[in-house]
Amino acid sequence: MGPGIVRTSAPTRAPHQRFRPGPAPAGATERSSPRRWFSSLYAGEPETCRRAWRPFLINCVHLGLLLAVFHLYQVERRPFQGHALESLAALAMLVLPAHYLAPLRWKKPIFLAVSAAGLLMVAGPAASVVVLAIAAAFIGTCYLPIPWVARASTCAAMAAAIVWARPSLAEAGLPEEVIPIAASMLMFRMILFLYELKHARAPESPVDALSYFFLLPNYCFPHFPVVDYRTMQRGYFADDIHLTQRRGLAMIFRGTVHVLAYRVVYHQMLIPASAVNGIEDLVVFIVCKYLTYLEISGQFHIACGMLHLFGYRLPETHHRYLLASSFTDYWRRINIYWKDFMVRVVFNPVIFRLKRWPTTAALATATAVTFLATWLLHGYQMYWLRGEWGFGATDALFWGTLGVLVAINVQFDARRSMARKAAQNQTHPALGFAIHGAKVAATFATIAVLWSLWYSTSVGAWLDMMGRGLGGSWSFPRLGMLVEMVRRGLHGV
Amino acid sequence: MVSDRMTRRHWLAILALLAGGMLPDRLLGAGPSRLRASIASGLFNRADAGRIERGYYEQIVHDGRRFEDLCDLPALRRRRKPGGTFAAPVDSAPLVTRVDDIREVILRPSETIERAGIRWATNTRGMRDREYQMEKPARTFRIAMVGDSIAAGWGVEVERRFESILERSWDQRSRDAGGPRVEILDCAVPGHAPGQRWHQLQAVGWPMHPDLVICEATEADIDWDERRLRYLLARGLGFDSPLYREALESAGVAPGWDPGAYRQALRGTTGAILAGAYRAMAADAGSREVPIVWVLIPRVGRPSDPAARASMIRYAHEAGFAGIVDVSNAYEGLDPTRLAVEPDDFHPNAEGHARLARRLDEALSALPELSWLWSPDVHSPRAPGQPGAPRR
Repeated sequence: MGPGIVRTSAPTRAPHQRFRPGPAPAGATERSSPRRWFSSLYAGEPETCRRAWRPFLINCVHLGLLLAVFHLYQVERRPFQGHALESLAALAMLVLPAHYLAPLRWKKPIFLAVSAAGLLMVAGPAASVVVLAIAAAFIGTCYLPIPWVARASTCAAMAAAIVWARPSLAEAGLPEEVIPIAASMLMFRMILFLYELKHARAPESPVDALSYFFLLPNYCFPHFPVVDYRTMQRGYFADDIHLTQRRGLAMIFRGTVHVLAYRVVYHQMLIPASAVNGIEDLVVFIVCKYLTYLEISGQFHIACGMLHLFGYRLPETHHRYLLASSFTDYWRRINIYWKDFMVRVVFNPVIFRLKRWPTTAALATATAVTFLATWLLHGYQMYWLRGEWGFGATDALFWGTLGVLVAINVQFDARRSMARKAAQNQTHPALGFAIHGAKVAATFATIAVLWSLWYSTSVGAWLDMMGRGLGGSWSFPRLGMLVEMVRRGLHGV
Repeated sequence: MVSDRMTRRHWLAILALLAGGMLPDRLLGAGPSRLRASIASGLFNRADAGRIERGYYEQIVHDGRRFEDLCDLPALRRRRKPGGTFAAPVDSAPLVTRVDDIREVILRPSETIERAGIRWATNTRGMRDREYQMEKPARTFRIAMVGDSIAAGWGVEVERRFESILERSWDQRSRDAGGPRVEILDCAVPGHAPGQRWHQLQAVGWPMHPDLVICEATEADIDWDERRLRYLLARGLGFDSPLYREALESAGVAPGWDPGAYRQALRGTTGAILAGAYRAMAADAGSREVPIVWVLIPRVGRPSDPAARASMIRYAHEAGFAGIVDVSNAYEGLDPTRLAVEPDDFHPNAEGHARLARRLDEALSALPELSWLWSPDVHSPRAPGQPGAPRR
């Protein structure tokens, strides 16, 4: 920033720097009494940890009602998977009073114990023991007294050994669920943890590390948000616990609504690709297929909401991604944790290495590398969770096209002058709203079409479907029926 | 920050959801009830259950459904205890047990459990059926039925499934006409693909010397073997099966690949795999001089694909089955919600099984392999227990 230039707004803080725990109140120690042992347990605790029965009980009732909704609507209950979410949410509810009353220094070990119990409940004793052993091997390696490069290489070698031995392990009778569970805990969080170890000024405590890997809701959501280690630790009791819990409950509620909305779309509106025979079918299919992502956003909200109950204040996982007005905006709003992960581990290091390049070239290269990494890591994730590498032409085209669109948008955003922004601000509100609406519609349509490509079995199948849609009937019978229903309704009124 | 106002709104919405979820169907009406059933359903929608491929997130999120997706095993659908979040924990299912051969799973022998009010009892041979003597009794015509979860009677009591209805009806009719007793051995195992059903017959059915084999099929079979093979081959199973040998050779697959690679290699061979399996079944039965009848039955609420149906019938014709019966239109024009065990499920309930039994009875009774049982003037090609001898 040059001389004479005044910053008019505070710089945006990195996600992992947003939530710092507040300082312990001066009078906190005064509450402790040497005569009463239990009082000494709470000595020195921050104000955010203070206990108050009324808001806590309200939050418990709120959680109980959500649990009833889970039960009534069988949220996340699937064939073969039992009702893991209900079980884990019930476990969380049962343990919550003990966790709430426990001194701050006991809370993380309690959370860890609850997570281990959750693992046992969901995976059973045999699989749990193997998962614990795998996790212990990886996390233990991170604490070996050897250089960071050697520790990271050892972890990579162990992962490669598991890939190599996976078919034999299955034949040897290893429970099928072991590798997906262990992978969902370690595959991305280990990368972030190693990154953190490399840059951390002080060693990380084992309890912090274990509570990062053993997250209670992880066992019912194999596809889990990539929670950042530093964000999680800094968000721990960063705000009043009742407010944090209330925020978590709001997230769980929002997630539940997303999951239920997904089911309406999935069961009532989504048509198979083979049934596309006209433009209206095509639009319905493309839009509904894209909206099936509501299930993912719902699961992420529920998972992070559950962590809030134990004092972890975390950022939003998604932010109105259907209303994105550009491709960069979309990338920022959908799966925010993934975006942060990529920015932290890929984009920023690349940009830093290319700091002598012209900005345009550096941004384009960093964006390309980020999307290449995103594509590869999605295949990597598919391998760990399903046992097959997910690299296909449709995946490459999806991520490639999205990467190009975001790269163009990044360049456009970088070149847009302040003057132009100011000029935009002077436009009539109605016109501004219309322009914004058009941008949102265009972004939605483009992403939905790309999504339909990604979800197709092959490029040929997608082209065939698009051909049938565009080459078929251009009438809108469903829309006509809807309009007629509305007209009749209005007429009746 | 979550404001008090927003929290109040959430509470109201939650209470509304709970109230909506608890209202009786008769107060809600048909449309809202159906919508509510959809919201509360964690099952596949009709299109996906009709075997369309799924997208990236659907695959990884629903990995636990993989087993059902691939082989339609409904064993744990009504599990009451939590557990098994990721892959299908078939080992822990009380109903089935894993085996190290191409069948993957079989029903646990001599097991009696109750789930969702339905009793599942297996005999000592691992069939969901009553106990049969190993040696066929004199004056008994024994039929072996191979099939999937519908033939096993998923969701209904054993005596109300179509196989049991047919057994009672044919036995009575035959004895009334002075014929032999009729036994139908139900060798069906939920989740088995056509080829696996045949291996199950070899393990369980052939040792009991059936006089006739009924091979039950649905339109889901069209690519079922191929989808199971992806995982079987990755485990080193299936390469030596005579049912698949021809198709696997032409696909050029080799041991040691992962399921994704097999999937790629087998793409486009689904028809060849099923046709090969049918040929091997008919040849095996022919070599034992046992007639084999192929029957195509419907799944409740699943739209029929005329092309798939025509292909399957053609494969069955070419394979040389003694009889081919297509009753896939048995539920046409009927409300699927009245015939399914639960919304969006394709397994017929008791009414669906009864209707199916009537249609099968009409179609199968006329076949020469069976009609002699209740037509005193007709001589059977094979008398009960004495191959090749006249009936009476």
